[in-house]
Amino acid sequence: MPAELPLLKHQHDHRFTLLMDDKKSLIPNRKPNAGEQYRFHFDISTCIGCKCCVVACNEQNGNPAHINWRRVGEIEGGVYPQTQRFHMSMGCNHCLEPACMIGCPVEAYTKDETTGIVLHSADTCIGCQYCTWNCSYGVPQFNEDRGVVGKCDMCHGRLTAGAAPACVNACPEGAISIELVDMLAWRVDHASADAPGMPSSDDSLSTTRITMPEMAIPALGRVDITRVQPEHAHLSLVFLLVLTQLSAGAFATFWLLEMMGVQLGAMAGLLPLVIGMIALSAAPMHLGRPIHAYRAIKNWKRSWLSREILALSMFAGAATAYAGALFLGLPMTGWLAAGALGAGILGVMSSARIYIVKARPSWNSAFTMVDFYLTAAVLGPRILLAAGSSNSDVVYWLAAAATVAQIVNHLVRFHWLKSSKQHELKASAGLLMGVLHDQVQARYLLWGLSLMTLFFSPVASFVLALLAESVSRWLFFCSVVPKTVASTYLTPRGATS
Amino acid sequence: MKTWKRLLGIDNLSEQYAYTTDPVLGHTSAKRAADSWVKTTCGYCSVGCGMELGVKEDKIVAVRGWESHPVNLGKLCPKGLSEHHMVSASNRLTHPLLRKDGKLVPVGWDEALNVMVEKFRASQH
Repeated sequence: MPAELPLLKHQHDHRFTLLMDDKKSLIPNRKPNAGEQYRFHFDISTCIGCKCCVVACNEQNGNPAHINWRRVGEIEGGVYPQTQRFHMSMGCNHCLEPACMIGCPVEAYTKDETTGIVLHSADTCIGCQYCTWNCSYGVPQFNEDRGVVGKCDMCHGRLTAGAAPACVNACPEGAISIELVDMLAWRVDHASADAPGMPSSDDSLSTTRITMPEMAIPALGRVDITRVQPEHAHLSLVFLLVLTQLSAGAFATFWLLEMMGVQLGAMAGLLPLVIGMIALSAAPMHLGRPIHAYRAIKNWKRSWLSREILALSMFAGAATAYAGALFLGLPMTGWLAAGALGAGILGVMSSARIYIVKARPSWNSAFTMVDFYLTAAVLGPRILLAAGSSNSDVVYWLAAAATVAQIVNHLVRFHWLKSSKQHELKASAGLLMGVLHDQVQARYLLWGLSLMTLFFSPVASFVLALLAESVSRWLFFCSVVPKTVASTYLTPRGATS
Repeated sequence: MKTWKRLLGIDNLSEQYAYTTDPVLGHTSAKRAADSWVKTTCGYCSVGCGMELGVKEDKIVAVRGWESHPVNLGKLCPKGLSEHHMVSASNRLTHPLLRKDGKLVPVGWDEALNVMVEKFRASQH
């Protein structure tokens, strides 16, 4: 009989009674009322870092071992012998203002009306991974095998059937539970969503309530901040951005020449048009599900990704009209060039706005916008010179001035990163000075050579500038250090993000 | 290898990642749905936690803690929680291996034990 076994003599010890408690006490005994939603409560003081929650989550959702919708990290601090280390287990924070949902171009995300759970549809998702850039906690994760993103849904299917989520169920310490939260009151005061090792809850109004141990010292922080590795280079996006900006810059230069009354050749518009078109048609290659690319304009009211696609499509139309008018010798080319200029400005701005997100601090600045426009100004005039479409002094000086401005932009940006006190910005500077140092030097060298050759060989100058801008955009992607929750000391970066 | 349907994105492996309502586990990944459950003891460490293995078509597809088992009262550690993967793991050793000419080759138990006895004895002199 179990009651005679020695361990059960300890059943008045709270840890044993916890195991024997009705597990339903860890989830609310009623559904959320209007104005309420479910949220996680996580108790750092009881978590032992065993990762049962992580494994139970993977079992529940059938995920491969390298994708973890719930992750366990470590925070530590203090000076010997007064040192502390705690574990924290985090799933999705089911935010009041989910950045993943706001940015999603296809409306794959919904915030469930009755439970407040942020749900993701794998069938609607096109695998653009924009949500993985928008979330300050690194919650949505791209599943390479499926070509779509996935994330914690608080075991919506279990919770609504009155069962505890898998992580709650598996925790031997009862450290994870589900609570009800008054959404309006949480909007006003959500300080208990903040904890050492967690990005600020202001970013998207995280709802997870965190209980810190009473004896916790203030100087706790992530254990993993010294291990910073370059992010994914996204080569297809480097290609897309640099070449669409080249094309936008070229048509802006056409407009300038039109305004100056310069007569342009019939073939002048064709090369920049073809380059822009190739870049745009290669864009779906970035998606996990390229065939569904057309869906990406659906969320134009909220998502800069949807707006980018709309604006760049408008640009493609306007650029085709202008290049066609030049080719056919039609009148009113000045107005058509102005149309291409306007659409190009909108397109480049929408591209830049995609990257200006709170979760990726080194992208989240005006430098990104300036960088993208200057890429257009560095490459646009140069392709006209290289193709022999123009030999106007203004175009030469425009290209030279833009190149100097771009070099200055990146020098000032680097100084901003390096002198920042924020971990993610400092760490970006660290990458640029460290493992990416050679590429940084190569970029400046290429810009310099491109300036020196500009007035002698526009073709060489164009090729050098194109290389410089490509390396620079590659560095833009590699050197970003995203905000995320604490991981463990030994977790390889990128294993779960 | 990814199929062309997967590369285009027509297929997103939705069947492989489907959910079901299992009479024992409740709402869970369809991969975990079992026909029957077999009570056993976890073989990883010496604590001896009670566990139930979910079996479907003669394959172990799921594991859960044995609710009333006095040792673990329904809880399992992360290794126990994923123990069913071990049984069919591709790199699991299913027979003795002996290094011959620098390469590990499968051998029978008789040969394996004989070699061990021989080597032990040789070291005892």
